[in-house]
Amino acid sequence: MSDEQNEKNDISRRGFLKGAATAAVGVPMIALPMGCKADIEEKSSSRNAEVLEVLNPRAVLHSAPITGLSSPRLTDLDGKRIALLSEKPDAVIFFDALEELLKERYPTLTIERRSSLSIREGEKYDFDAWIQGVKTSGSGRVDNEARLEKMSIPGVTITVDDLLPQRKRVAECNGLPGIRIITVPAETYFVCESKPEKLKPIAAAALNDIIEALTSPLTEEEKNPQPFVYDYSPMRFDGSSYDEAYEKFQQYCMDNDMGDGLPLTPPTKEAVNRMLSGTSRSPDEVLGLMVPRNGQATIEKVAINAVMAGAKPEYLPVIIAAVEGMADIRFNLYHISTGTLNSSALVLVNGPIAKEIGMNCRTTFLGPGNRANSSIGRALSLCMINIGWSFFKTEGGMIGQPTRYTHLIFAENEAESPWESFAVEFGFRPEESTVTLDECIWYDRLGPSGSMRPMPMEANMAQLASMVKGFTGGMTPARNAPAGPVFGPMDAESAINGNYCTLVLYPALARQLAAAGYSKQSLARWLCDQHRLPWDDYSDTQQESILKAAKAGSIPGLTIEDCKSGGTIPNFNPRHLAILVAGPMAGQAMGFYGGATTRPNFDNPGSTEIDYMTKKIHGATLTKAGR
Amino acid sequence: MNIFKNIILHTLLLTAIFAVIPVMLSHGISKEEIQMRNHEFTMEVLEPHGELAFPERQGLFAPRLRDLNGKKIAITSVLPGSMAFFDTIKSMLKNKYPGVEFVHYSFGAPNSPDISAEIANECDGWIDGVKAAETGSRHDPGVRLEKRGCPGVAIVSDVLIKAKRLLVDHNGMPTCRVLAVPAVDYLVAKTDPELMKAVAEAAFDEIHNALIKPLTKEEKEVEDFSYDYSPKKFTGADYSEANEKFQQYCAENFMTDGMPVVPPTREAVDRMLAGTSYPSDKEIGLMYPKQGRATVEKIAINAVMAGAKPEYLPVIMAIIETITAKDFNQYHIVNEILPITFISGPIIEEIGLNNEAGYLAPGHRANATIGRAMLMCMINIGWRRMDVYSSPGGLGQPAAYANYIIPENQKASPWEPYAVSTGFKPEESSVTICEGIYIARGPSETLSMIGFEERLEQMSRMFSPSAGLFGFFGMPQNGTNMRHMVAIHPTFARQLANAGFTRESFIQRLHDKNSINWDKMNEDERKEFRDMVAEGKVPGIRTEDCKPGLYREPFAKPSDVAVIVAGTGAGGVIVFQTPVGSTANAEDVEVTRSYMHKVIRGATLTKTGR
Repeated sequence: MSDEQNEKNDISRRGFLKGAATAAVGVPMIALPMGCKADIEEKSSSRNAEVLEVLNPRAVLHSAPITGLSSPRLTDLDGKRIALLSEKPDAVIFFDALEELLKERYPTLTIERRSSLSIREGEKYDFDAWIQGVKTSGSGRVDNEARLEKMSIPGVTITVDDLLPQRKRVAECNGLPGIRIITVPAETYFVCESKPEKLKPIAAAALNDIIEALTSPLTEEEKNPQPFVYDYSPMRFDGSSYDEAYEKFQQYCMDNDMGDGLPLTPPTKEAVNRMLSGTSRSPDEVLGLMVPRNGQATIEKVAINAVMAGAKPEYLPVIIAAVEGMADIRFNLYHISTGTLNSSALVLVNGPIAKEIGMNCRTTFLGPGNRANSSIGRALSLCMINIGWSFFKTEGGMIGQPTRYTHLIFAENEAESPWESFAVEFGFRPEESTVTLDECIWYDRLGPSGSMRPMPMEANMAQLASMVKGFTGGMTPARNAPAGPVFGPMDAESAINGNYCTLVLYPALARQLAAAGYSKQSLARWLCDQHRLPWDDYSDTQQESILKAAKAGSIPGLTIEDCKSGGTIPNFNPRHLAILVAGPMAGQAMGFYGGATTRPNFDNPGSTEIDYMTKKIHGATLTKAGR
Repeated sequence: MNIFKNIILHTLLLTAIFAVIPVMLSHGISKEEIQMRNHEFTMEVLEPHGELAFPERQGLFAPRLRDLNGKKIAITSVLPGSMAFFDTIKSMLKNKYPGVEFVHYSFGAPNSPDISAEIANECDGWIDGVKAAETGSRHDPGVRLEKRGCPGVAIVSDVLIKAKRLLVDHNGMPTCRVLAVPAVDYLVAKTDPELMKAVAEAAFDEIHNALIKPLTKEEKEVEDFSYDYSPKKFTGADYSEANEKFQQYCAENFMTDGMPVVPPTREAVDRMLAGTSYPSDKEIGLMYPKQGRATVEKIAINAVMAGAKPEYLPVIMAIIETITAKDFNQYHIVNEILPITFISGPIIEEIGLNNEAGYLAPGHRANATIGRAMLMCMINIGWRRMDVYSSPGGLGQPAAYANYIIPENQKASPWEPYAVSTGFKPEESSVTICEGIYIARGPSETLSMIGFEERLEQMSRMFSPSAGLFGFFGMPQNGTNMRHMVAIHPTFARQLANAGFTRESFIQRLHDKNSINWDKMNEDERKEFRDMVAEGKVPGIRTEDCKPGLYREPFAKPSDVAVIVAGTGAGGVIVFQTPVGSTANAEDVEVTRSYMHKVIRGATLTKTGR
């Protein structure tokens, strides 16, 4: 490794010391307006005659109050008990090496090995310190670091350097920016392939820093980090022409992570007032808090971001309803906002408002070109950035998704559909307008096609069934699977009921199916029946859990009779296989695979189960619908 | 007393107005500002639309047939599926005109030779149809025939009527006769001959009329395409109102992708043009569908609208140069918007393109606006209607706002730069573009740190006979037209290099592991293969195909697979696949190539790319 690289590694490894300072001021530092107020004071003889003043799109944070680390670090490691909390199988091997090295250095040290998932709120632990790692993926909301430090047990987290910004963000969100973090270089860690001989040198290289992190006394910044401070006042930009002032505004937003890289409409007071005329609701009304940093979404803040997105006032009620959904604690916005997959939200609009505001539900309904679709979706993206305080630089995922500019937003083609709309199916009246949210982890657009290769109905249905099967969600039978990390919920009820899929059919296909006697519900049930898996393929633990769910009757289509050799188990709850109709009459069917956004999980512990997050649109002033 | 005061005040006021304003003007305060002080703001923007290279339009001139008896009518059908439709039409026409004769032709794939001369010679009239799919040629068969004096009518499904009317216009004859059949009925009827009979019967009268009704004045007398390319003004009470009017104008006139655009004022465009040394009237190429002239200035105008900075302009120009190049199938990309762009070379660092974590995510001005500028040029210079041109299935391309711009991460790559591997010098920067219809993502490191062998296996499976488009169309016998653009993350690249792979040997391995070559299989392999075919696991191959001579390949040669290292250690692999690459055997491609690359030139604000 070059000197440069060594230096880079040194700096990042010592990050835990600087971390406190940087993290605590990191947010307010980017908040200081870049010298624009000063410019105004300047010579009036200057040619900077044009001033652009815009309202601030950032929301007031209600995240955990910033506190310092308080529990003292260990004075030394002799005779102490240290817990090594491993995340994944590669970490187990890394910790094997680390354990050996630590014991070599401190023969009286005892080591406790546990999974990081074993740490629970409210329990007591008797180890003196902890080392957690190695973080190689996006994290959950509440993390052990904060839990354990609050229990007065000091420790350190090890992460690959690519994920350092995320770790710091999690630490800040949990109110403890001082948490000590050590990095290992991703470029060497990932090529270790979980092999002991390759992981040992990495552990050896990190050893001194780990010991120092556990033992060096807390610094002033770590004990008393700076409180979060942010200037929410309007921002002013000047130039010798409006063009110049406007360009300064654009660049400022780029530099301060307030946008998505594309041009923003300046949210001047006039523009925001015009936007607010689209709703009868009060600008001060609080819609809720948006993760990851619990920013407070008010109607005014939503309006400011809607202006920046390029939306029109008549779109505002739709955007408000979507933000209400995102801020609802039962909706898992956290994964969409911060997951390394960088997945998009799926935003469905139902009811008469879609047509009134000119949304596109036909040809090219998912693509660019329609101001309503584009700007409503983009407004949500900007709200996630500026109200939720989720920045692409930190939370852009490892590769990222180009669909994140506007997410995936469309209206159902209710006029040409033979069935009731999604909203009506879930209990709303046809004259009501709604927004439904989901997460789209990925989508498959190679469904049956009306225009390209029309096929007989049976072939179309077989292709739909294979699209549904193509998603490896639900409960994957593990009897013959190799041992390895298993993601997702382990119990049948969560895995199967949490397996969400949305099919979007083009109207002609929907009509064919309707003519053959299918309703949305019976089609969903038929598709679920095509994807039943053999009881015999499930492991013993899984079978136990399936039987439990069968006895409780908590999975439709699963009975106790299915739970025996030769029986089959459903992998979907038909209620979570949504069938929508959109696109041109002769379009192509596609499938969106969802993220169980309305089920409780470690990102969303406060949730109760609901099928979908749907919010009614109300308060509209410029349209007949949505009032 | 009061009256005097008023007179004095009024005089002073008048003096102020007539004296102060000239003073203000002479101190360089803009007219804009004066208007603003009078509560009015006017914005003047340049026209982003490309001037048409061929604005000439002509009307129909061939007289319509009055009596079909003794006449030969060409049925130029698009797909075999139209046969059932035309069976009914033919028999109904024969009922009316017992002496009519029909001859069948097919215009074939978009790059097939033009047979309109032969048809016009042989036949007296034509019926073309039924076009039900979005894709196809940028030429119109009906226009070709009408230009040769052969009268007829084209039939499309109603979801395509707007697209068809635009197509005949782009080809110079806007009043060609075009009819629509309801898609909902036609498509369902395609698999049911009885239903198809009913659909055809319902359309018969219109088709018949279109063949015999004499031309109207409007159909014969058509004006050339004309458009006012002069700058446009937008006025409002303040900047934001004027801007809103401009935004709404763009939205209503199909000049944008739905998001706000930066007003391309003269000043903004001049600032943008400072990024290139090329003269602003230099023509880079013609953009489809309307064949608008992409001059340096027009590109700059659209780059401003996209939100780009002047230092990005040379990259944007190289992109437009690539897609308008000779032997590049531009129309297909324009029709469906799926260009994948690789960028390689020192310009990446200089202009701040993100090639690390989240390189496809929003948030980076360079990546976002360079990709968007490509789309804006298609929309305005090429006159591409976003509401009409879609992608297969009419769904639209959600990634099209910023496109897929993939900058190489050379720092983290174990191999030579992609630009160098395609023949450029290390100090040069290049862009490489090809369409990518199917996008497959391999698993990322963050989800599972697997061993190198397994990673290589997984990667290899992405080229297997059942993967991606092969699962849909089957793997081809001759893979000459296939193109694969692959972005791999640095971890995997490093593992490959450590195991001794070069780019080329890695690509060769993907070929060898996935090709099907019966003649080279031993008995066990043949049995295993036959079993898989019997289970339906090899799309496009049936049991009777399993015999000597059976050969399939994912691609023809290593240079047809473009591999670039991008992203971060924790990232993953992406494969973009197309059955007919933009430089393969397709429309407008005379000389095929693996890929089209253009060097970035003319830069003034960066050290490289000059």
